[in-house]
Amino acid sequence: MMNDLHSRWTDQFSEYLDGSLGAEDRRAVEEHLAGCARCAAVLSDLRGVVDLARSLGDVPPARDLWPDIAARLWSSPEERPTEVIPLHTGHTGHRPQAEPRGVYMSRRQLAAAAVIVAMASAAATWALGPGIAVRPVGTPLPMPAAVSPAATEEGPPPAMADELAHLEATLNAARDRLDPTTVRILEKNLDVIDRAIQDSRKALATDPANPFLREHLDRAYQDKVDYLREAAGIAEWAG
Amino acid sequence: MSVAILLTSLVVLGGPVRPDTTVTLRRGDRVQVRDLGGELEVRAWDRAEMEVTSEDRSAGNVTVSRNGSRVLLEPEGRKGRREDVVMTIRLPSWAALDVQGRELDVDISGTAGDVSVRNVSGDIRVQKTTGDLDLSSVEGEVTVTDARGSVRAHSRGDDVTLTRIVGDVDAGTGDGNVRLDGIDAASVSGETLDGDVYFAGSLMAGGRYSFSVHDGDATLVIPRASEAHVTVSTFDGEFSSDFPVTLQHYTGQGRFGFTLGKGNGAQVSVEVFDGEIRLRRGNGREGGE
Repeated sequence: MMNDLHSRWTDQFSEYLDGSLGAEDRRAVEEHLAGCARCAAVLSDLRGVVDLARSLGDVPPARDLWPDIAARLWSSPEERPTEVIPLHTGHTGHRPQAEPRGVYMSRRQLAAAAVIVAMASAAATWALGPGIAVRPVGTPLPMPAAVSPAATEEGPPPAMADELAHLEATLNAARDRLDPTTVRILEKNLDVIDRAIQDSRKALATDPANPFLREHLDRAYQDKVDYLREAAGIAEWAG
Repeated sequence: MSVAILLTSLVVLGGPVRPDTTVTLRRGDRVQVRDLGGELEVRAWDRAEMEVTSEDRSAGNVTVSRNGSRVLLEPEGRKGRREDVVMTIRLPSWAALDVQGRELDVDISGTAGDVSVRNVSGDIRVQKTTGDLDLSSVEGEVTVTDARGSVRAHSRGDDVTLTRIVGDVDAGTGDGNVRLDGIDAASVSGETLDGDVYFAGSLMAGGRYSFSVHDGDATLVIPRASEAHVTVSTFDGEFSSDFPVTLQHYTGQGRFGFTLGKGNGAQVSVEVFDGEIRLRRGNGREGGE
């Protein structure tokens, strides 16, 4: 592992290669490289990774590869990736004049970043591309959240199912008491929620282990519960 | 000419309200408006009285009654029957207001008491207030400008726009945009299912800021010196940032976290199912960038 003395320089290599380092810092890096074979070797490795990354075409995978990769990587605790940290313009804290570069990541780049995180050893700073660096630090990479058994089911979470059914029945019973305009408004906006639920269900079917999709679906169901409560209240005073 | 009417407990004020009817209010009173449609304008003034007026005399079919601290305006006759009005209410600024409308456009200005508006359809516009606001319209725009105090603003089928707010914000819609501009709050929530969320404001240390979009984009414009831990989640979206971003965790499923600055400040969560997430530098004020 690079010690602090060297990491002061290696931390800047990503920006150095990007050309985004300030002139003064750039000169300082070059002066250090002239006298430090170890850092020069790291920079050479890093340049190779950057060149390789830049040469890769932007070809979408036929499917989401991450679940399989994660399963292989994390088949035992020892194999779990030890860090973290893509993205980043290599801020080191002593060049405030340098304007930080922006970051843009597509979903595919995010997936690639995760793979490189898994590849990263504790020896170097890796760069994925302009403005995006991956650096091993030693903090365990969080495992995906445990997926509840409900994740693969299509219906609402059990805790909400009864209330949803009750509210829908309440609203149906009130339909005849409400004026047609109110019914149309309530149904139109219920359709928006139902479409979001359908979208989330379809997405979850393609990636059932995705905790975000599960939470998103649950949120949509919660939104439906909230809306039906509101609608039931309206039916009470406007019916 | 205004007619001052002193009220006692549970008093119906002599039948329909005439134009220019004036009612004495006491601190702690809550004015409740029920079952009206049409247009309602509420303005604060420096008198301890409520005045009800309508240019077209439609307020003549509205009655006023008092029950304890509740002062109720509702259509004359059968409870629940809607009455369409074009009406202006002037209130002492400290009075609390509670409106429940059908197809009612509501415009409120200058109040300092708590305000609650629930509407089936019709727009809600509120400006220059200092009390807490709780506003919802199933189908209608909700717009708040220059408010101090907490704001809960929800629509189901239209835009929600909050500008220059000092106070916690909870804003959401089902089908429309949520625009939060010039927000100074420790707690902000913005959510839409079909539309965009825009936030321009400052991030307070210890503050919590959450934004959720199903189908649309989320844009956050925050000061360049912001300190925050940010969590981003997306299923089929893209992320761009004006800020240098240091990833702290990545789950491999479109969810990652990073810090801005030293990360000692706010907690920010952005979730977009399908759309773009943009993090932009701004000045923390209205207009942002």
